Amino acid sequence: MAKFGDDIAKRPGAENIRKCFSCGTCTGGCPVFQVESGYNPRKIIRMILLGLREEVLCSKMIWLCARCYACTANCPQNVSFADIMTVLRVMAIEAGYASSEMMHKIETLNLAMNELRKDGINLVTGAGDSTKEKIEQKIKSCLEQL
Amino acid sequence: MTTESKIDKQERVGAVLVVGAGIAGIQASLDLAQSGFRVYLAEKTPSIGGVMAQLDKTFPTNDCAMCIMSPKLVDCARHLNIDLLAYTEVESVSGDAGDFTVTLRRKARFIDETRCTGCGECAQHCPVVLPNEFDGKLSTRKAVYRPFPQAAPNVFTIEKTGVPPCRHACPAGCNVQGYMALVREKKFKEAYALIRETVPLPAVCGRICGQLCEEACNRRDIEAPLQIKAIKRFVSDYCQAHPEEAGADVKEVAGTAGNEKIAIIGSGPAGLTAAFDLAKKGYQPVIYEALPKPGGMLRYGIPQYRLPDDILDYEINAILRSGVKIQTNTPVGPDLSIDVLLEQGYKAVFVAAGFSQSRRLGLEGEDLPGVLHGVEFLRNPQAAVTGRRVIVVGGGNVAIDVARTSKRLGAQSVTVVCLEARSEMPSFEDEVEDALAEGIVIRNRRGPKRVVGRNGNILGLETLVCESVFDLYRRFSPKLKPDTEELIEGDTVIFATGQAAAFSFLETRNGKIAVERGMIKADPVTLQTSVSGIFAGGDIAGAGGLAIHAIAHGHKAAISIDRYIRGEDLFDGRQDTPVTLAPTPARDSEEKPRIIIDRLSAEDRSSNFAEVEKCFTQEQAVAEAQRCLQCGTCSECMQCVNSCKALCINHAQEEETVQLHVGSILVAAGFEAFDPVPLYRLGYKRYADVITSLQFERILSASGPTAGHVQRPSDGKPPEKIAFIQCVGSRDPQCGHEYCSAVCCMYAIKEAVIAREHLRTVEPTIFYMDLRTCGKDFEKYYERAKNQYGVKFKRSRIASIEQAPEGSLLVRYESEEGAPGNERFDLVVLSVGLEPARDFKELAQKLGIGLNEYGFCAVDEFSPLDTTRPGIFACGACSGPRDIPETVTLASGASARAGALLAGRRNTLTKIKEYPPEVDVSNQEPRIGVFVCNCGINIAGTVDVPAVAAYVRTLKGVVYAEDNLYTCSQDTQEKITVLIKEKSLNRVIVASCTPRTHEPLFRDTVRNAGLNPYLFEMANIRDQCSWVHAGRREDATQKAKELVGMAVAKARYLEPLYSVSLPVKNSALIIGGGLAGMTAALNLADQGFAVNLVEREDRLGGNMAHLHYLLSGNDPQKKLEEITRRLTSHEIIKVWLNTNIRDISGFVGNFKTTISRGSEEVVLEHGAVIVATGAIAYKPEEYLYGADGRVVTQQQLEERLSHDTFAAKTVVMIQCVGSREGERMYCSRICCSQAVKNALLIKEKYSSTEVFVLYRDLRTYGFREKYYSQAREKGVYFIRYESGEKPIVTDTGAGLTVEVKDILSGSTLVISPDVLVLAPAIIPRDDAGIVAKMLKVPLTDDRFFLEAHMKLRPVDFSVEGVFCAGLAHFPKSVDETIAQAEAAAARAAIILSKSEYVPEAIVSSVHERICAGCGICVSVCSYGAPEIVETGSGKVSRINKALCKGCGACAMACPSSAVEQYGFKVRQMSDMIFAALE
Repeated sequence: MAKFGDDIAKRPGAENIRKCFSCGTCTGGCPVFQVESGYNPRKIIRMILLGLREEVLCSKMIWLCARCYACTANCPQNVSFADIMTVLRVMAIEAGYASSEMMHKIETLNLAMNELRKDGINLVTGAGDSTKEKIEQKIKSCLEQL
Repeated sequence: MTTESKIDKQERVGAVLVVGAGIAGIQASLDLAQSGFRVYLAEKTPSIGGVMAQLDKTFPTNDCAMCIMSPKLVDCARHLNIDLLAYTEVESVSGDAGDFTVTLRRKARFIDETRCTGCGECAQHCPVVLPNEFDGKLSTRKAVYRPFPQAAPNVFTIEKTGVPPCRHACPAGCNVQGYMALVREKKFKEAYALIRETVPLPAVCGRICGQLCEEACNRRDIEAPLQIKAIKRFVSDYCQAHPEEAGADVKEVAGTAGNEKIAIIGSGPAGLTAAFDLAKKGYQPVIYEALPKPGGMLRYGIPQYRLPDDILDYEINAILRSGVKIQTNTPVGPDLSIDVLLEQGYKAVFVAAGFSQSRRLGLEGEDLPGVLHGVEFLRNPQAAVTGRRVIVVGGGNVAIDVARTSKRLGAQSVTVVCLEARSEMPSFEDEVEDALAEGIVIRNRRGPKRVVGRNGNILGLETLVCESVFDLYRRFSPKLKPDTEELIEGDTVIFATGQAAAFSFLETRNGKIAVERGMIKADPVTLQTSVSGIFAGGDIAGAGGLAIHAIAHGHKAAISIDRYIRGEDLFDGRQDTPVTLAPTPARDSEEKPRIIIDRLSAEDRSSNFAEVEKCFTQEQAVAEAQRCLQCGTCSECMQCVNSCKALCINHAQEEETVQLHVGSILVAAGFEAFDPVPLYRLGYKRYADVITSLQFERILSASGPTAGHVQRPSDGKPPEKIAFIQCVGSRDPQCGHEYCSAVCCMYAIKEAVIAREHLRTVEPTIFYMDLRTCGKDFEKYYERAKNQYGVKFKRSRIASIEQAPEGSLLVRYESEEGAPGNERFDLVVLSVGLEPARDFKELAQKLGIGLNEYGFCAVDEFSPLDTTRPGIFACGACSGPRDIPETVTLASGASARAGALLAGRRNTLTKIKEYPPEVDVSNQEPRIGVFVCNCGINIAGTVDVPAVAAYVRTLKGVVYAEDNLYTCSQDTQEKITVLIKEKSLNRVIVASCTPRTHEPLFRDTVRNAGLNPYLFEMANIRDQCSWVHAGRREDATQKAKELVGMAVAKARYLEPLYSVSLPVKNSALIIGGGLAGMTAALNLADQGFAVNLVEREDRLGGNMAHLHYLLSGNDPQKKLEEITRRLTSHEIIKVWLNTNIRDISGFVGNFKTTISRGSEEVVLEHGAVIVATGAIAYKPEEYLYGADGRVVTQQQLEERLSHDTFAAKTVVMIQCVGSREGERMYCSRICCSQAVKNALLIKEKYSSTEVFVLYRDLRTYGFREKYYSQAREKGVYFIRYESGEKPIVTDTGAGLTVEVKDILSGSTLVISPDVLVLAPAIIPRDDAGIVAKMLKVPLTDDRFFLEAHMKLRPVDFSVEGVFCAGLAHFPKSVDETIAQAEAAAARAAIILSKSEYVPEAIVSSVHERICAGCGICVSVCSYGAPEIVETGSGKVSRINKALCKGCGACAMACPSSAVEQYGFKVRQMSDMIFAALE
């Protein structure tokens, strides 16, 4: 049962996972959790420690992390959840729960989202030359790449 | 636990040093002093009291912290055998246990502790306002302060942090910060007087000073230095303009010197200053001035537009009024030599003739007509012939003055030629700017070559480019570049290139006055010249060029001349005096822009001599002065000195070093609250409404900044929602604190509850991780907070606090349901953790004691009071975070340890007060003396005190009445003693402050005069009259008369009271032979007291016999063996096994107990009892316990682990079995740690075994948190369950299954353990009630023994002489049990160390004739004093005077008024009432 937690704890960045005392600071400060409350770092850690390997690695949750590291910064026990997410993604691909293209696609999506953010802010503030049409076009082309 | 020492028992010192005077230090000191040791109590802050003094209410009883603590403060301050060394730090310790030598540094309070009466007058006059640390900086205090009104010693302290840089920079030492403070307070007269102490020409310096102070001002680093000069000018001009208000004729200090005549040559600033100083000392200074008017360069060198003549005249006249004489037009020189002056009787001469002429450069054309020189030009500019185009040579102030004066005299053009670049010019920057604005041209970096003239007319000045002004050593050495000639055209050239002295008086009969580099050679320290008795200062002696330099020389010369005439050493104490510069204070970094000074425009000023700079308005001056950072803290403005009527302020006080010999040292250095600034996400100090719990305590406190009104700091509005954030700086290795602070959960709940009590509408929410309410009665308090007070508890560690746009605070967290919680609060309170005091590491080094990994004092689990250095003991929060009861327990425990070390040396160094024989007043008519106190102006400011005294004289029985400035001062005490004898007074009344603090003092005074102390009565006309009726003088005076009148009415019937002392049996009975009883027995025996230890079972050890492991790794069985061996071999301990208590009778000092062993009955006589009867484990009825062999308790598991009979793949532990629910609404405190301990043991021995701990809140409080972390890291599963959804245990036949809902993952876990371990509640023994009844002591609702006071008397019972320790009191760990047992021993030792017991004198007594024997008095008495006895004529109540505390409850309750209380008899009280109604 403990095997899954042990496996993860061996990987660089995830060493402190067992220190977690489930305080929830990671989740409370997570921007993804604000929009998708199904994404719950505290719960994911608990599931790992309870050995729910397949449930975790199959879950779409592991792909949601925005890698802002707020959880890591806030954790009183030095559990770096953001790094644990990377470990989980690698393990999911290794174990065949996800295709290796997944990483690439997520990266494409991230870049597109950042672009959207930038253009959106320009639109709101009136800076730059972004228009709704241009933004829509960008989104479309991103979606096509996925 | 033995206390070994190299020092022989009889050589040890019977004195103890206690370091730190929070509640721990206070308690330890009282315990030690009361048991016969001399105590020195050293405290680094000005008052004893520590953090407890800052707290509002205390949990779980909601007593006011200060109310319960202040009697201890008073006791400590007044105790004959406690030397209170407040404001004192430990410097070093040498020696060994039994005989230490300690060096202490007593910091300077600048107030004489023996004279200060604490009246507070000084603080009212102090202008320095500082943030008040006591109120968490939510309010302000003064630089002279008392931390809180109940402070002990009750004296004020002046805080100084060093010499402020402004004052240090001023050559004359002008107290700049001082007058800044006075200007802020609009005390301009006082400011003027303060300036004049060092600067006799304030208006002059306010205009032309070189403002070295401003260059040094620390405000420079924030935005710009203060404009000190301009403020000085405002003060001077204001006082000149308001002579009636300002009293411009400053009262001169009458000197003590003789009337010797002193000659002074020159009436410039140096000469005037010296003359003024000498006149103030009583000399007769005469100034000889060559020119027609006095003032020197001030008059003849500085133009009118900078320093008008009338200003100078005004200030010189003020100096003349001090007795200085000036002879103008009288040059000292060939016609009037120094020798002639000496012949005329002058005893000393001060040469301050200045630079009276210009220095010549010797250039070609310098002597042409039309070439002028600066000094001569300025002396009489109107008379000087100037043309239309003026060239000025020079870059200093004189050059600029010459240029601007020329402009004003009508010059068409003015060009300044100077060697320096603009930035290098030595002239004042603003003067240069003014000159430029007036159209003056400055040609920088050019030097004069020659003046070109033709036919007696000047054509101009030929100049060369200046390559550099200074050489490599920054010496003046200009280099002019050849072949760069340029002619600057003009018809007048004025050289302002330096000044020189004229020497016409150097020859004396005692030799020639030596000259060096154009100046008189004078000693830099004394200003004495080469000729004895002749001194020189100012420019002529190289003062430094500024008027303020000359003034400084004037002061120096005056000191030297005074010493010279007195024949004293000229140098003594004047060289190399070390100066502590004040650091820049951190308290105020907010930008405050400087106030712009108005000035005449260039057009309005450049053609006339009107003063250019205008004076600040009053508002401007005050606003500018408010920018002062108060670097030195105290500004030494001397307002306190002038206001203090007790004459106790001494600004020259120095710190002292004290050396002491003590046998032992107790460290009670306390803790500090964690500073949450580094936790950026919480917004502390960024948002005004995020505060710490300590600040919130002050807000809740009635004596706090908001007088107890719950308000938020930003806008003073009552908050609607308050969030409490737990674990701020606790359980957080990221901020360096892995441990749990143990007290925050309870104090947060308490604060939430009290906030609700103060403001019913407020909604408190507590955000926590595990709620650790594991103390006695804490769980019930938590339940009440939830259910009765509606406090919300949310199990979540919050992620961040942000400012919401509309002013509230947004708290982000994950709700318990797993949803984003973004909640608005009006106020956020951070429950900050405890950490070692900032300087504790340093103190530990000085004491030579070790620290643990967290920086707290290192102690061992089996000797929780012993530091690593023998003879030094630790108590309170310096050895770990803990609450008040534990702190007090440890304090008593540590005093027991010291008592054991120094046993046999008791009463060797203590003082005993001797009183004269008592006068018999029984047949005398009342002769009442009344002393009415003014208390400085505390009472006199509101009440007409002499009128009260006059009124009292008219009352019947009063033979004497007077009013005193301070009735409590030492001289008045002596006076009262004399008057009692002189006037044969037999009753004394003091009408002053509160009996709470002062009654013992006055009782002592009358006793010293031979009166029984109970012939004294007090009337409170301060706290209950003047303080509450300020501004209503007539009414308050009337009330004061009535209050004193009532006291007189009572005093007529006062009678002497006595208490009959009772002998004490110096041995103890200890009931229970577990760890607590054994520890207490050993300590008492080590202290020299015989002990009977009674144990019902056939072995010693109690519950400890079942302990095999401890979290710390210590071996409990080995320990048990060791103490059993020591105990059974101790000569004065008798152990009774298989023995029961049959009966206990008697009272403190004299108990009689019947014990039985088998058929044998024995009666023991003893002076004290310690109850250590222990507790047992609850036998679970749930979770198949008893029905299934696989279900065991933690204790059984431990047994199996110790015998290696344990085998399991999976273990489940269920916590809180029988605790925190139903009839046992308390936490058993130790089970979480026990579960963690056993889980770790399993993981260590059988690493593949899976361990699940099912818990409700994990309560590994304090340093135990570390082991919880270790268990998690080792892979132990911690699964929380709710009390409503307990685990379900079933026997499936194939095995046990435990079903539990995992709240976090939302799934239900089904575990199949091989072993199921239960943590059963710890419950009191069945027969606790029987023991309680025999001892007449109470039990709690949970049937644990109930101590006298949960906070401050944690091991005492309300019945004297009976004490409690161990699990009988409440569940506790090994170290806590040991500490409590030692504490109980210490408290018992106080009684056993005395040969006799002196009960209260104010007790109740029964008129047996009236008494019906109804027994109501018995039921209301908390102390078991009354008893119904059968007499021949029926039942009556009898009061045991040894037990009575004089509370008066029985007298109140008695339906037939048969009970009367001494000191409050019916006649006494009724006459007081009649007097009030008259």
